[in-house]
Amino acid sequence: MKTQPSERQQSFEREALPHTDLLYNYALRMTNNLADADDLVQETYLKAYRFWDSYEQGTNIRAWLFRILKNSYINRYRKEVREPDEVEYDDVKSLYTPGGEGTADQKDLQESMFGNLLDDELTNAIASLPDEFRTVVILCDIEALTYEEVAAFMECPLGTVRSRLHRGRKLLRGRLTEYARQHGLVQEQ
Amino acid sequence: MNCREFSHCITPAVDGRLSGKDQALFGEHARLCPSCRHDYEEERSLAALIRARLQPARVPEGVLASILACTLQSESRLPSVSGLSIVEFFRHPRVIPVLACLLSFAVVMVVFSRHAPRVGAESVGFVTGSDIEHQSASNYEAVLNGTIVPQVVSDCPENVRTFFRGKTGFPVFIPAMKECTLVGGSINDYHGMRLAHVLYKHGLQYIYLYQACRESVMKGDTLHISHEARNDLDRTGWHCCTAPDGAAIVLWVRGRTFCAAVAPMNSEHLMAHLAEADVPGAW
Repeated sequence: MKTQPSERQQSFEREALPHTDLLYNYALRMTNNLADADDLVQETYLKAYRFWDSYEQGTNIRAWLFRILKNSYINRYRKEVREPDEVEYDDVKSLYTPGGEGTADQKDLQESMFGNLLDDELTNAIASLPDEFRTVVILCDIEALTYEEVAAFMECPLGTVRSRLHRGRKLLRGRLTEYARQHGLVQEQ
Repeated sequence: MNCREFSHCITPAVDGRLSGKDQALFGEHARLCPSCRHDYEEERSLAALIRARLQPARVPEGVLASILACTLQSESRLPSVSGLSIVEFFRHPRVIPVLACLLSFAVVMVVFSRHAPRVGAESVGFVTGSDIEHQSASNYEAVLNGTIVPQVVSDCPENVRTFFRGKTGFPVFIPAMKECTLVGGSINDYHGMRLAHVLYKHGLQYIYLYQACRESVMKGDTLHISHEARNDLDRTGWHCCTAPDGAAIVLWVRGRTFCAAVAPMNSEHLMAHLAEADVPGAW
């Protein structure tokens, strides 16, 4: 004899399950580990189901799930993130280099540097970013979410999303450049 | 648009989020200012690189299966199926065995995650009045559904042994079982009787050890055992039975300790794990 799933269960499957890919991708990029990403997503959905009654139907389900995942991630890796990530402004500022008139050459340099990078190296560089920058880079550049969605996920103003994305990209670029130079992927200029 | 304003617009420009008017001003400044144009090109090329190289990952089917299974289990202990997608999903020949493994894994991962609220020793739930075999099975359920959580989490037997030392009144068995990883342990009192709980991970399954004072159990003051179990223990030192959900329960005594083990595997397999590890150093 088959038992009908409850209305609660049906609504959970209908509303929450379609977003597993988004959460999994974020978890994977944040943990940079398949098993940890699996655990994190499962944990998120179990918590979401447990507290499904507290979810206000019709509100932003993705943001709600994302916040559960984010909190789970922070708790799980509390040791690593006990102190907020800090990035010295100089780290970012120093990435600015005078452009001069040599833009075309600069483009060639970029292509020669980053063209030789493997996807794993790019992935690792993203994984090395501080959490707040990594999150916006993942959500905006890989998940292709809008600034508004990311702001809702992170519960911060649009301007913060934009500035974190800007700084995150600069930081990432700096790390990739450094990596490329260290590994001889580009000739020292 | 000056250089400072241009800098603020670089990211939205890369992402195509500038209004028509701002886009025109931005383009005009970029044409006239090589330094700003360079900054824009750097960010644009990096964003393009990420988008070209890294595609969003898809959640593995096993994870999805585990989520579904856990919600089904949470809703009612007996998984039910309804709705075409789920029926089809469960019809897949490999889904049921995978679910069985992932189910226990996922639930216990939640239970033993570091942020899980620690339950005080006095608040651990038990089934009052049932014999120790049923209690073992119920406790295993409680471990899986989060009622019982470890008060010490460590894969080092010595750490867990230190946690129990001097607190139980009987030696606690913390074996080094092959292919098993120690998860942790906890202590509680049940009507004045001190109980010890130890949990192991075995692949995707869990092995739960429930221990008490042998003398108290044998006297049957608070916990008691069936006649059949008592006979087996007297005769062979071991007793095996099966929990309602099919998990194996093994009871045995050693010195001043009464032990019960529960795991979702056949009893011979479980006994082999325990017997092999039952060495003096494990106590």
